[in-house]
Amino acid sequence: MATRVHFRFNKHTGEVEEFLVDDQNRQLAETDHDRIALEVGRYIAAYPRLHDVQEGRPVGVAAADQAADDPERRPALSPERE
Amino acid sequence: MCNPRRIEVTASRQVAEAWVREVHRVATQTEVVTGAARVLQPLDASVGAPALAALEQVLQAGLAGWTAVAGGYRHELDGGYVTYLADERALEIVATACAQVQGQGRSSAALSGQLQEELTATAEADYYDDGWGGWTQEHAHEQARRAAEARVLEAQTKRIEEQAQAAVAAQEGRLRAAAQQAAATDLAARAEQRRAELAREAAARLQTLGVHARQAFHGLLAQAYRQALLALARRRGAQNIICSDGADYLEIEFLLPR
Repeated sequence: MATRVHFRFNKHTGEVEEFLVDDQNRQLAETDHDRIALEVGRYIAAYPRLHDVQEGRPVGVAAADQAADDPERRPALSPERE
Repeated sequence: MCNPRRIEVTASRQVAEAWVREVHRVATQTEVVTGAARVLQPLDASVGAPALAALEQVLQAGLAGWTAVAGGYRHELDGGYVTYLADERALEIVATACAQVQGQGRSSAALSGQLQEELTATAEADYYDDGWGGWTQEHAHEQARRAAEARVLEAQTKRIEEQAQAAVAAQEGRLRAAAQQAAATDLAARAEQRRAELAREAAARLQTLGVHARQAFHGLLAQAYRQALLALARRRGAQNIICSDGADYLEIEFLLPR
């Protein structure tokens, strides 16, 4: 079984709207799942934050505001894992 | 029988006459001045290193709208530009405003001299030897004398004008340079003032320009993300790679093997 990666970037807002690292219920060990998610996340974000996705809904907001208008704010691109 | 005669009279004058000439020269200089306001947004604290590396590769390969400049790559905007600074790994957004400024300068001089010359002129007049019709020798002499003296006066005026013109020509270079220097000084002062005004105008537009700048950057970022993620997928032997790169969204999906 493979891990599904799904990424969607909004070119108008500069927001990473979805960044999902889904083990597709193959019951990866949580540490392995986190490791894979962080590895993939670091390709996009310098400091990716992980959020659990339960029943298709993220528990935490994946704040993917890469190009926010406030240059002082550090955006968090958050690969979601399910 | 009356015989026509001609008399010639020479008039001389020792001239000692002073003259004064006021000379003015005006110069203008123009310059286009620019005012700018800028904001720097570091990227290395937000964008992942592979994506940043891919971003630079995309720029080096050439992307429409982005031009290589000293220190990075620039995208021109209406009223400014956005630059990706390679060494700083940052985005610089610059709003600009420009205007033409004119400076004026003037120089003056009072030139003087004195004509000291002996001027001579000759004139002729005709008469009849029997004085017929009143055209006597005395009358002709008087006519010729007056004409000769008029010519001496004319020569005097002409010689003074020649001296004055020569004096002006001798000072022409200095007067023009002084006028240009005054214009340059005036221009520098006006340019500095206008530059400050333009900088304030640019600052007022910076936020709006920032929206357009970031929109341009999003297009570049999308290409970087695409390149980085597809490189990851290939490196890890991913399957079922799907990439949809439209006007609004970049969407990538793949399956990573265990």
